[in-house]
Amino acid sequence: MLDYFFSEEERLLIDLVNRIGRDYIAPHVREWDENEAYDLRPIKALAQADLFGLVIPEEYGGLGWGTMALCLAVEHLSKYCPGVATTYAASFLGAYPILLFGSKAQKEKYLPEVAAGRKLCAFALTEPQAGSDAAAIRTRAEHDGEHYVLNGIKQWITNGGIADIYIVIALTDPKKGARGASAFIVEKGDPGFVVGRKEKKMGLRASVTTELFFTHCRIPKDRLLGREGLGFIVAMKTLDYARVGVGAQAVGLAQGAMELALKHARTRIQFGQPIYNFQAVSHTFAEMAMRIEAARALVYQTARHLDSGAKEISGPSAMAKAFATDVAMWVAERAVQMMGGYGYMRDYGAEKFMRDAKCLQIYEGTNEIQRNVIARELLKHYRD
Amino acid sequence: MHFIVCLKPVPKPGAVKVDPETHTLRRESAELILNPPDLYALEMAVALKEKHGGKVTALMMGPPNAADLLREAYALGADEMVLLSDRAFAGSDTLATSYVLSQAIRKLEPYDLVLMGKASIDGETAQVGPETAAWLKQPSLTQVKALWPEDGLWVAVRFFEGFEEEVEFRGPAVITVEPEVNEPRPPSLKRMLAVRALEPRVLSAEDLDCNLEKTGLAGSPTQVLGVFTPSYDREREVLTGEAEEVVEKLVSLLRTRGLI
Amino acid sequence: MGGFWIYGQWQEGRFHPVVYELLSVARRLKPALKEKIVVVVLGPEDRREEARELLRYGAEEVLFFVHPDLGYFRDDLYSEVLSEAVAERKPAVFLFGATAEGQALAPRVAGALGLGLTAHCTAFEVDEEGRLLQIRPSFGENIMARIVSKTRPQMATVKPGVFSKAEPVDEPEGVLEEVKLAAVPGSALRRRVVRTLPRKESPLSRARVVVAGGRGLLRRENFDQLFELAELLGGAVGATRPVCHLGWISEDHMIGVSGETVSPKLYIGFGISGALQHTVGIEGAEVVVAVNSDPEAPLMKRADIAVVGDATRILPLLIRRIRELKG
Repeated sequence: MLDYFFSEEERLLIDLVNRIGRDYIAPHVREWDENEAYDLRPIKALAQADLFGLVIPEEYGGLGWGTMALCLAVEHLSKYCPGVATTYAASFLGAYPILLFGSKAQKEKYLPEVAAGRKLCAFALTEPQAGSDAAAIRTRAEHDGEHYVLNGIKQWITNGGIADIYIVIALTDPKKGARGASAFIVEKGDPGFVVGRKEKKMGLRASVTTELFFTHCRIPKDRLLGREGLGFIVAMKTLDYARVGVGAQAVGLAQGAMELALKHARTRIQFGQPIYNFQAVSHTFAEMAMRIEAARALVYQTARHLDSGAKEISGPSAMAKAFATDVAMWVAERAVQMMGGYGYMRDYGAEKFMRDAKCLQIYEGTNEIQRNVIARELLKHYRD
Repeated sequence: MHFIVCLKPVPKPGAVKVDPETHTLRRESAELILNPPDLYALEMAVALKEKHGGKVTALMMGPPNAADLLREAYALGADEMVLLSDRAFAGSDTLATSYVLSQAIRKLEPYDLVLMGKASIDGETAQVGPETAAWLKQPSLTQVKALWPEDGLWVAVRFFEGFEEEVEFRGPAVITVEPEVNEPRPPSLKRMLAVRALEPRVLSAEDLDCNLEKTGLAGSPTQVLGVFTPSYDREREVLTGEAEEVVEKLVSLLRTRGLI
Repeated sequence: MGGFWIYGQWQEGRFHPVVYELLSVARRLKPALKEKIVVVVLGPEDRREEARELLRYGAEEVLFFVHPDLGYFRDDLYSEVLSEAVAERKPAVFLFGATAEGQALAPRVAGALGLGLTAHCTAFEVDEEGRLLQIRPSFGENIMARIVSKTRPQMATVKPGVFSKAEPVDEPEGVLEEVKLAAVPGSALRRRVVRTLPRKESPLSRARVVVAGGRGLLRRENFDQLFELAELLGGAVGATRPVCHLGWISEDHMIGVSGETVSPKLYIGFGISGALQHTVGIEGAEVVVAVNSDPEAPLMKRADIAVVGDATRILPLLIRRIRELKG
């Protein structure tokens, strides 16, 4: 309803993503969800449409656009399938560390492949004992001549197995705790790197989540990102950029759920009239629309804030992520309710949005952790 | 290699109007789209170009406003855009259309293959491909499923009813591509951005050295005398009511007639 | 000079069924057109006896062009032989089956000789001037077009399965005219392999029950339920063209002008408005049931049983009810 004054390029992008959603995603969504199947076809379509190059600079074969463009792409994909959007967005989560901290040689080696969509990325921080408490990671990276040797386990890694490039956070100096972590690029096929089993998930079932095992995994020294000890800076900065994308995913998901339920409410006849005529129903939609628009405005403004080169980005990103994903969960649940029995049956799509939405409140930092971040940033901002 | 792909602008389904005078389609009144079956031909040509090098020319006969459809073809991988537009082409049947296309194709020499969709969704004749080949005095292969170069020759797999044949031939030739034999790609964002600064080459009947007796209504031997709506005189049962109710009525009707 | 020509298409050493259908068309039009019925056959001489068989089905002449190189269909070669024959003998009418081969061949002949050609005809009439009026569905709208050709021969392709096959005649009177070609033009095509394709899993054209869906089913998920119903009724699933283009189902299931022609005992169309492009394919259905919320939709008008209601709701209810009945 609101006009966000998109540029001509942004409009082209939105139309293109919707076309991909309609033609390459919508016809298969139910099948992917039912079979918990990853399908290469929508990823290939996104690659052919140049969408893996959105934020990659032109010199590396990308479009050189910003976070706002990425958010628009993720939002509109999520209207069709938040699972496909997860695969897409998680690849950027793995590409951002190279983009932000990579050397020229590393950028030249990896970014053109990423921009062309020939290689997917993944970001590996979480471990069995280190979720919200990321500093509790145990994966080690030790010097061995011209190599590092990695040992450890990463858990719940999106794009595990389907990605070619993995950003792995490991401890180079365990004594220093969080300051002793470093970020490495591990490639599919590196010796000692094995992908574990695929997790069975409640939602986002078109995406792939696995464990990663590193057993005396030897990688050349030039795979270090930035310098030793920078691991957590790399991780936190990357997440600051990526979280607004989760917010965008939430906005798209909520929009998709609302549109689905609205179509139902306008055509479902009970007591001789469309149920939308009943105020309990129409007010619910009014509430959905308000919340979605507020979330969208926050996500867009945060994305533009990031693109402006602003320094203070942790707080806004956390707000956009937590607020929008809470809205998505609320809207998806209401959408199921508005569709009644149709909402609950797996044939009609509403309950899938609800299952998908749950993960958005959990991954890339739980919404509880986001509130910690916001609270901490608040004190910094109002220091006096 | 040079691949020419002929594309047809067709009215978006459901938006067709027929001219009451000539009984031909009034194209100007409807929103135009690229004929969906043509997308498989374009994809086949673009994939061949990517693999073996060369360029793809998108060729279209249509009104001036069809230029945007050629831009779409560019976004889908075509490199050159050529629009054949002239009042003298209006009202062409398949013979006159294929004549104009063949005149344009001659102007685009040298080329290796001409590719087209199997049929258009408005006329549905499937005739323009072989007719164009006849004008050009070249081989034609219809309903092609796969195509590749081999030792200076082309090899095609094409469908017939109940069987397919693998056939080798020397180009240039005119190929019509069977629908659904590949997955047409989405537009490339980079190409969508680049094509904004490009204009298709527009060629008129004069540019093509067309004999005007062979184009448009004058060059079209088939003539629509009239149209009519068929009538059906059948006894009809109309079932109305709540869904559960009509289903019950339907089932009992079908059972009495021994149909289920 | 003159003659009502029919292209005698081979299929696995015999004639394609559409050849017999074209013979019945020719025989029906004979009193009005008064043209000699000629089937034109190309092939090597060992096919002579098969070719002669056509006389039993009412051909008044079988014009058999013989050359060893005519052993299998090649677009350029066949069209050159036919074009030459047409230019020399000037038939009044030349019909082809709208098969893959017929559709590849007829336009090449038309293009080479600058002739009009009408595709996928479903009916013919003869006007007072003795012209052949070629009738086909037009432009996806709910209309049929009557088309004439300004050139001779008047050429058309005819949809297989629309016309009944010619019955054998008691006393064949025609003759086989064998034309031995001294040389034929070279062909740019060389067949390397022929592969028989597996029979389609849903032989729509022979199905006793056809359940078909259109855009009114709104979503692919709804459309997919047709398979359940088809299985319950022992039938096959059909579709309209838009639905195939939406990717809900492959084009093998398309019924209509460029798809299959069906003649089941029972046809049920869910959410199908009934554009002629589709309904020409169900002419042969004995009982037509239409389910549509719009009682004015063309298919509802021509149905034997018109069910007014939301197809997306009626379909699952019908499946449940029939399942109950079957226990």
